Amino acid sequence: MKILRIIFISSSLASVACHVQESALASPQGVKVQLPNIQSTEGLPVALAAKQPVWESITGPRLRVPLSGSRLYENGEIWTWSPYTYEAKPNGLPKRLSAPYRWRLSARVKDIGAIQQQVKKLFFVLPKSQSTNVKSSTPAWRVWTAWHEGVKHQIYRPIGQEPKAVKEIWNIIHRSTIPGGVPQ
Amino acid sequence: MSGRSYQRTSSCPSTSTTNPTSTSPSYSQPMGNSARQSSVSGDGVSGEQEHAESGSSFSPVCDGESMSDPELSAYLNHGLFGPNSMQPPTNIGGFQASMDPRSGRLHIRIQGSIGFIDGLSFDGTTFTENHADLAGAATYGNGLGTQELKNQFHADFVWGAEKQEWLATMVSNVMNTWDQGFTFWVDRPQWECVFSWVDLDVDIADSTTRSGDHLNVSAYKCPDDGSFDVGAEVNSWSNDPDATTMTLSSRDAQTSEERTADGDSLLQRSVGPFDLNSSDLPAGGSSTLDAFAADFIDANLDRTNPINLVGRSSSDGSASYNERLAERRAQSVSNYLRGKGVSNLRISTEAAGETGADQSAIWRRVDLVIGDGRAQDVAAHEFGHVLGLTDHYDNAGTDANGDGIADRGGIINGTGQPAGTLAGHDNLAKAIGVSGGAVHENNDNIMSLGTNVSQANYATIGWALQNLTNIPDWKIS
Repeated sequence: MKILRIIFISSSLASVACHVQESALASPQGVKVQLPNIQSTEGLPVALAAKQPVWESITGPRLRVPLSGSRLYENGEIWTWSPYTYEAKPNGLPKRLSAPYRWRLSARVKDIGAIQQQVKKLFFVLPKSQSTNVKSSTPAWRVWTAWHEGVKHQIYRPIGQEPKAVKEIWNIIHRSTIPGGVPQ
Repeated sequence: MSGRSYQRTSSCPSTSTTNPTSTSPSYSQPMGNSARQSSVSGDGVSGEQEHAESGSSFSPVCDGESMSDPELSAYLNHGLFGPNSMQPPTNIGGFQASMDPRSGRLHIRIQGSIGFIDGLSFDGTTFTENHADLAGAATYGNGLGTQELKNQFHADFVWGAEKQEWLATMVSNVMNTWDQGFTFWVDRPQWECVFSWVDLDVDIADSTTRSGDHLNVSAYKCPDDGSFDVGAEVNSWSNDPDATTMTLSSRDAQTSEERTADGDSLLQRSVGPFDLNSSDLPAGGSSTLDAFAADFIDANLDRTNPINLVGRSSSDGSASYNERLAERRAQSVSNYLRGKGVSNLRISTEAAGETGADQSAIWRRVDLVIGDGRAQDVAAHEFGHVLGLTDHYDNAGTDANGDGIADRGGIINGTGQPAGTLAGHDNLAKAIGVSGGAVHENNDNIMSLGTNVSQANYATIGWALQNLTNIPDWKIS
């Protein structure tokens, strides 16, 4: 069993991910490590832009892998932030196209209440951060945030060290996704 | 478990007489690369036996005067240094290194295992991702409206019989990129006869972890067209040189040439379409060029990221006219970039005219090519991290407040650093005599956006040589 603790910088290379978060972290050398964040509401309907999502997952940018985010709202809609759109090829499979960054509706789920309960049960018990002594070639982060009855909980981990509970929550969302819920 | 292993090793220089006390010629040069060896073999193939044979064929030849230096004599008679598992002070990666002073062979060995993992699992109803980067792919798949589409979608995320070929190609690409024939010499009087040549040896097995492994690779199957993908990365744990992990996408075994042909190079952009018979910048052209200038700043003004502008035209009109039109378009882009502070010394222009063109508007453009323009061999880049090197690209596309607008105006984002920032192995590069060191800049270097390996990229190999032999004066040539 590895004992994990955070070291951010261990050489003259400052390991800095790219997007500001209110909880920027200080390395031993005082260099701030910044967590990914998406402030823009571009593309979201006005009614949703003013609401907190049930579940949010944001992945910091890496070379060739741009910043991305997903939000699940109380109305059962999953919105995705990325610089891509997908169009169906003649065989019905997706073709990725470059596009301006914006939120885009990507799926709908059923049983949002059951998902909320699982998020509360699995996610709200996780510690905000988990120390790790990993040194990554791409020191980027994922940040997950959930809101339940007005209470916010947020955790972050280096990419590649996602908690099991997060994967379980995604699996619950996947099982609840409505086939054909969004025209593709 | 198949237990198959794929190994590539660089080969030794040409034969020379082994006799450190000889009075015969005092200077003996390795003669660069000869044919490379490769093997696909069964369980537990060891590279050592093959290398022991090949490594004995070259030796420095030092004369009597040199041998009067007791340190040199001690070095030549030391016997094998290592093998040691080593992690450079960049605190990333790990490899085994040994050095035979008689043959001059510095053996850098990366031994690892690989696991082939389907990108998505599918139980007939629901997709789940096997890597967090593919959560969006699972969401997309679960939203598909028919079972037939779901089955087709799933097929692109499942490894088939191609695994062994994929592994062989990946290792071969890595070796082809990294085997540059650089040698090391000792910067001390009377040590001119001492050389070291690098025998790089990559041995990755499709098996459970073997004794002596430094690296564990996880390769995720993703669609070939890149519609959904996994980001490549290397992680090192606990500063243990034998505990490095690497994540690759199945697309990461594509060669630089294949990716370039797919339009996947970060070193090539275009401005267009120009209006018919016009060399005025098209709508949107200035913002494209502004981002280009922001991304490709010349760190240290050393012009290591030259820009070639290739003007083109559609096939409307005569060939000779189109040649001149293409040149004017390239010049128009050049003028704009120089107005943005790009040094004229970095810019060259070329008129391709209507070569290869038809009448469509996409040919009315100027291509902007940085360095050799070749796309990065991603697996080779990641093996650079296993060798202990850090990235040195510039993330000028960083959007620090998440508002969708890059703060420094570029489009290259990620975890790089602004141009001019020293890379993590800068001091190691300088220590082997690379005066420019290693700085962040978007160029065609393997640890930046391209696929070229320079002397600075051998910084950690040189560090290993210096530390193995306890001789800090090794320099690269």
